[in-house]
Amino acid sequence: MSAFKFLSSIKLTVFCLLWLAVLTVWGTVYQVDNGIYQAQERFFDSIFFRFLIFPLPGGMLTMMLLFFNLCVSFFVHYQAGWRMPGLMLTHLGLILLLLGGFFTKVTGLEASVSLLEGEGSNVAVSRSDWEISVAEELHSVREIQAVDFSDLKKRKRFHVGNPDLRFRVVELHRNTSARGPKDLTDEQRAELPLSPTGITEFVPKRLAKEPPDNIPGIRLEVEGAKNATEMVLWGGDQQAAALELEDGSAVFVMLRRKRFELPLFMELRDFRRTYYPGSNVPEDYRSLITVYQGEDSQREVVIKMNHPFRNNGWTFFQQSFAVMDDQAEQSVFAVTRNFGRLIPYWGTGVTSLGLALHFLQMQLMQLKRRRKSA
Amino acid sequence: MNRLLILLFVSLASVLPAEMSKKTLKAWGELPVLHEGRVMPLDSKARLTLLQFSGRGKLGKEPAISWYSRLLFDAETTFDDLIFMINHPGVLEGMGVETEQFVEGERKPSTRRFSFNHLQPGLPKLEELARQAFEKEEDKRDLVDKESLRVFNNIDLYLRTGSVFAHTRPLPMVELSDAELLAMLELQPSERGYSYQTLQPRIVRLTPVLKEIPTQENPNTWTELQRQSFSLAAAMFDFRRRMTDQPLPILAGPPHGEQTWLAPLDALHDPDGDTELIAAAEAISKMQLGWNAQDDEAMMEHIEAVSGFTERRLPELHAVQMADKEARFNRADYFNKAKVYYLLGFFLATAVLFGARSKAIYYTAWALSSWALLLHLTGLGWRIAITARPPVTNLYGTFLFVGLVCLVLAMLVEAFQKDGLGLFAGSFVAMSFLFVAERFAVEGDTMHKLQAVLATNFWLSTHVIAVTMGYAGVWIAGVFGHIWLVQYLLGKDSKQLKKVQMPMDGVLGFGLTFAFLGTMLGGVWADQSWGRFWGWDPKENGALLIVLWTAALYHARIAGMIKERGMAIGNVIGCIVVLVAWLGVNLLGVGLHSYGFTKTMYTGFFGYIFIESVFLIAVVVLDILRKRDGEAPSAPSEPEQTPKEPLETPPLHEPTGNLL
Repeated sequence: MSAFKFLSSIKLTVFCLLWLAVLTVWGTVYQVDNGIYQAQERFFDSIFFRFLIFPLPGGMLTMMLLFFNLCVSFFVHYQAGWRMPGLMLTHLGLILLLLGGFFTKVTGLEASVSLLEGEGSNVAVSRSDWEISVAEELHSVREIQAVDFSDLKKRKRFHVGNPDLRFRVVELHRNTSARGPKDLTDEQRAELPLSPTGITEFVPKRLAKEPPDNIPGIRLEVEGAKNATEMVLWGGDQQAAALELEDGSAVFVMLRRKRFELPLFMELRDFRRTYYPGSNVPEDYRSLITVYQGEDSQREVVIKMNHPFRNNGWTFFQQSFAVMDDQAEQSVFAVTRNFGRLIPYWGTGVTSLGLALHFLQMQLMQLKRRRKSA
Repeated sequence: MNRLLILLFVSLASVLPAEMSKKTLKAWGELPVLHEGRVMPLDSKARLTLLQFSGRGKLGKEPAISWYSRLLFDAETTFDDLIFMINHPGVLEGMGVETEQFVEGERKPSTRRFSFNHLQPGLPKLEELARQAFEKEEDKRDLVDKESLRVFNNIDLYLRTGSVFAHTRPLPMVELSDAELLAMLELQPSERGYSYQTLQPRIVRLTPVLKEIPTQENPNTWTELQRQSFSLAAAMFDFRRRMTDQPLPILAGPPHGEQTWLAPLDALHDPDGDTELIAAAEAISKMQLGWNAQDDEAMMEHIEAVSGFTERRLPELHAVQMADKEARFNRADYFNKAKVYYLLGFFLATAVLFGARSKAIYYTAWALSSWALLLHLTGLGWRIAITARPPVTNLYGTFLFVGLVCLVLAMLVEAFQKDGLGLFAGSFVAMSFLFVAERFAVEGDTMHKLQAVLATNFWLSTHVIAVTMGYAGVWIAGVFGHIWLVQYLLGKDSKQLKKVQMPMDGVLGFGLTFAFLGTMLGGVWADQSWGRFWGWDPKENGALLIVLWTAALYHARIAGMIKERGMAIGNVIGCIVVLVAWLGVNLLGVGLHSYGFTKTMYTGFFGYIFIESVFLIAVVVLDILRKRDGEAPSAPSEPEQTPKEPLETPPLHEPTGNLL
């Protein structure tokens, strides 16, 4: 069978649909013990995944096959099928949906901003992605450059920031705790790899159910620094490691949650939560925000449940809140950027319209047949 | 357990048996009251309280509001009522009471429901069991722990409810015989004693006496006036302290600021001196006197005073406007009535389906099912009006709505085919879902307030409605699938089987369309609320599963991989898929939609899957046996030349002539 025949086969459609159904059930049950993120990664975002010793097709591969199957079938089967506009629209919409999903997967961005009342920020922080940042003072301006933790792997060489500074990954863990010896003298400490908090080794852990709970760790070989040839960075550290360069300047290296610069500065003026009277059932959460954009642009915005604020492809959602020890309220906003977010909307509309059209057409045809036979 | 509360509750209950007239009881049941954040009529609160205690909305034939009134005004008359449902004998054993309660006039002892009198000797031990359970981490509590806590909370609520009007009854353990003291308080000697409500405005007059009490000295040296004044003040203080958090917030607080509702005693002592509120509190407190005196007219007057007060105070509040209508809705009991008519319609439709030729039977079946549909629809309409929400806001609502849509689809089929098939399937499904809904009603308020993120009528009336309509389409196709398989095994001819197969394919198309639309609208809602269209949440996955399964069935049919029998079996499996999407994912307890799964549901869910599996195995085995015995299968003989790989032909339309 040629590849073309294979890709246009309806049996392939059936296989893909059923296998996707199996993955859906499997991935859903898997979430109970491993959380939604790991289930996504293993079953839905994968090309292949391993079960015992067998490699099985993952959701991504299945959906890609389905996508090509749809596209090829569209030209093979529907050339004579213009009498069935509903079916055509349905499959066209599905192609759009799958495309939209892929586009979102590749280009979408998810982060969050947490603000106390009176506080402002123009930076969103990823909940689950990490980066190694290198900060350098240049003409009294702090310049920060970063490399994605997810792009790194063992033995990989990279440089970030100062061109004289180079790193090589020696050890890397996606979720780990860390430890180091206590009560060392300065001489003993100088023998150890550089670490802001004296960490010398990692104790790797299973990936957490919730991705934000994963704390990564990395051991790097360093070239171009006077004070260290090896350094250990852990996500749990709240401090940066200082590297002295040959020219006497210093850079600060830190493993931290990935940052995104927002196209605006937002300040939380007020956060309000209301409950239904006499109960602890939340009725409404809302945040009053002042948005500063450009030189003189300033406006008030209310972000509440089901009413996000959209700006230049970015969307800000009321996600949750926290009450600090001093009773100060912190509002947490989910922040997303997805330029293709409307593609699934179009896909949904076109497919639904197609299904409805086809359904009605079939019912009319059946009615006609009944009348004829009557 | 708070012993003084029990004492107050037990000793102060009126000894006079009394009741309200029907008219007064009706007006009393229509008074708005706050319950778990929702303003509802007292009638609903009474039902919910009784449901919480006993798992039933009535006490035998006595309406909940009547029983609740007895508890409020005359608790002693409820002591022998079998109202406390205890699901684990370990709790009774732990309490040291009999695990069976013999009831006069009954042949069998009660083993699930017990009276307060039966449980009372074990209350101290129950308190200890509940305390131990409370101290454990939630996931380490066993069944006895959970049940002990539940029963303890119920008895606590029972006692607190019975004490709501305790301030109008004589205070226990208060001796007021000193003539000087009575004169100071301007009270006449009374054998019955004095209520908190009577004493409270006068107590301030004792201040000089109380100040002069030599508290450092032995109380035996105190004068009688000092001793009685002190014990009265202590009793008053203790009473007020214990009478907090009363479970009857029936009086609306100040109309400005956040909405508050107060219990009668709290309203009587309103710190802001809101005279209108205090007057309403006095009026409702006088209900106790009216009850004691069996003065129906006076009670009606007090009810009207409170009702008028609430309407003046919160004239715009939708729930206040709807309170009387909700009470009427409760009394009308639309869904239970609909069940009866569905059942009758189902019997007659069965007769028609199995060959009864009488037109009278056929049209009676139509009339009964239509009447039931009307009742069902009216009930749903009332729920929409009362909650000001679309029909589906919780699992209970899904069963009401899906049952209705199934029936409408089946009746449309009936309108075309006129052979009893639609009436049979529709009335059966609608009735079954109403019975299932009843099980969910036991879990609590079915019109409860929605969490902030769900409180959006737009998405509730688009995504939720569409996805539940999808459930309905696939479910009713599954029911037709069952009928097709049974008829196939009974050896019906292809013409008869075709009459089932055609609507089966049609409603499946309806199901696919709406399941897809609903699922994707869910994605749009998620994108609007959380910024992500699809997150592989279990409920999303469940809905997707319906779409995938249904689409796979159609494509397998088009590809010639399955024929009519395969389609029927696939539709039966479709019912399981719908159930997994509908309830199964809640069982997992993860994701954004994990709510409302109970032990009853757990049993029902797996029980249903087991029965369907047995049915399908039986179908396959019987079919094999038939074929082995040489009996010709009567499946409609589709053209055997079904294309192996329908590449050259455009089979997506009309492969069998009846695709949808």
